[in-house]
Amino acid sequence: MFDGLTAFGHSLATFGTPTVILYALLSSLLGVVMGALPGLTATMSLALMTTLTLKLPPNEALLILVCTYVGAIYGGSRSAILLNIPGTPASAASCLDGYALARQGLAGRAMGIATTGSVLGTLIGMFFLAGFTPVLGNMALKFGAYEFFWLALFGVLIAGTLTGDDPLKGWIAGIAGIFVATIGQEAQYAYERFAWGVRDLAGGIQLVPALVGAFGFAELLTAMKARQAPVKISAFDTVIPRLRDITQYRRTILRSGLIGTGVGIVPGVGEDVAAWSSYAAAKRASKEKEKFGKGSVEGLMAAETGDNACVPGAMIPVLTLAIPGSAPAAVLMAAMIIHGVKPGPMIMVENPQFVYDVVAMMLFATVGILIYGLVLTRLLVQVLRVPQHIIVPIIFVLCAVGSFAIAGRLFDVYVMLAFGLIGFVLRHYGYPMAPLVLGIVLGDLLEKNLRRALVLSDGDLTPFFTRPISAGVAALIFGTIGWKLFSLHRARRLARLPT
Amino acid sequence: MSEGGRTARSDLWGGAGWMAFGALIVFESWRMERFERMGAVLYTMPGFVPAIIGAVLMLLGLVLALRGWRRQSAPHEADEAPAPLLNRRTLATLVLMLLYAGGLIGRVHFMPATALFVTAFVWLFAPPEAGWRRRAVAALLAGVLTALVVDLVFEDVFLVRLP
Repeated sequence: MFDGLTAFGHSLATFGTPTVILYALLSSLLGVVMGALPGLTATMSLALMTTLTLKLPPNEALLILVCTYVGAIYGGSRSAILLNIPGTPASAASCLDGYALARQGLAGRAMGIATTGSVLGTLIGMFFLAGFTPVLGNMALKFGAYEFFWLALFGVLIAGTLTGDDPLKGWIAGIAGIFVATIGQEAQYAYERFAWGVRDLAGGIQLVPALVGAFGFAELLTAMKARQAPVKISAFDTVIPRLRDITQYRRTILRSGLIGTGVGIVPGVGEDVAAWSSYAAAKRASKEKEKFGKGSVEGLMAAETGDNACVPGAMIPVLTLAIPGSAPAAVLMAAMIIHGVKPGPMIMVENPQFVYDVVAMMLFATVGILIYGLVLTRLLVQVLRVPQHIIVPIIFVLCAVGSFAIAGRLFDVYVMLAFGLIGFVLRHYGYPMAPLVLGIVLGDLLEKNLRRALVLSDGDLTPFFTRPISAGVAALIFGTIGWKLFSLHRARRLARLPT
Repeated sequence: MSEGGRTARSDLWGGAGWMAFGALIVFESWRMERFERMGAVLYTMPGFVPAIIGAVLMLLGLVLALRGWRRQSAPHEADEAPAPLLNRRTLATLVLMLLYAGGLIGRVHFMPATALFVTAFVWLFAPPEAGWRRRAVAALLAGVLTALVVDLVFEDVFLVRLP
């Protein structure tokens, strides 16, 4: 424990320079603005910032990205409360009670609650990030090819099961994402797969342009379907949070923080699931259930605590297993690899300091959102007045430029366009994007470990089901899928019963 | 998430599409070099994992198609009319974006290409209530400022090369 505290102190000292603090504050602000703007998701914000920070030193680049991530998840609450439009999918749950409070003339109080919940949620998640990562990292050293194969498959399938409302389409999207990861030269013989003579395809599909397309371009097309209604922002008074709200709802805050962190650890399931799960749990446990959906302070607090606690939680599997806990975490993981940091089980052996650097980065981001939440809210909400027809082309320019910047290839811009079109069509027909992204991220890990495991066992499948951890993860996969199918079947039978 | 196009019919055709796509993947995987002369066994061959992926996609596509067919033929589950994939606004947005990213970028210098795109976009989608002079000025301002700021921030501040 003391080693951890020493390492954390060292991280704080390293990041405590004026330049770095300025980067942290500016990038948190940028994150809050991008999160507040409907149509600009946290994933896209991170993808765009990744390209902007390519030439910076690794620690500074990753600090900017972590602060943007935390800021974006928090920023979504601004438009959720004031406009009833979630700035990011993570803030959808905040619309229910946040906007209801705003309509009662309590927009300022709602924003204060959102700030409180977000800050406390991030702090709770940070505590587990610092404490749990070294433990899981040491456990992960025992994982072999069999375990990593099942974990990668688990990440893709659980994302398909829990995101969206149609698991079958989620699984199809996930398997399609794994296929995308096979395009290009394979690892063993450098054989070009599915390139059909196109030289640029031989290098495979880069993750960031694909993400920018699926989450950026596709989102912009969807946003432009309808003309934006005139923006009416509710008036609000003080946004300073009340201490009474924290003491009265301390159990809700703690419960939501734990749920949010736990959801973040599960691969592929992101902040929106964390927010809704925390909200549902708070409603079940509340003595004021009837207020939920009509302006419940407790409901808003739960949603905001849960979604922000998910951010550090999602970093835990990234750092220890190189498996992202959410779509934005997938971008962050790609950025780490670009900047030469190798996430995975060896991180606690080769670079343990980095784990505490990430915790320190989260702390800076938390301070940033606290400052902006208390001091700059009135100024920040003016951003919401910028018309959609001005924001959209600017974001698209950044999407195109950002995709090009990764490797200096026009091909990556075309990849962005292709994935944007595919994402737009798939979303229209009910396919979630998160499993597709997880499939692209985890496909390589899945294939390499499957082939390695079969070579080790000489083609024998038994070790996949008899090694303890392997068998446990396999049972979890089959159990989750079985439970989901059973739930859907039961729901359909109940729906068919005469009323 | 947009749900406008989800119907039993779209599931049926979508499932058929995934089955065809999966079959294509399996076929291409079958055609891949097997490296047997280099001592490769089944699970080390390049086509092994893609063939499994293709087979799984075919299976899931079949389930989706069957589900769509069953729902389509069930009398008590009548389909609502699906929302169209594209309307005029989306089509215009798509055309402008494809022209910019697929046509202008890399062929025309970044700044005029970006200024032209943003100006055209803002002018086209500005509310009709604003007079044409106001629309034109706002569009031109947005286009020129975007091009200048993006160029400055990416190339001069962050040293990232632009197309």
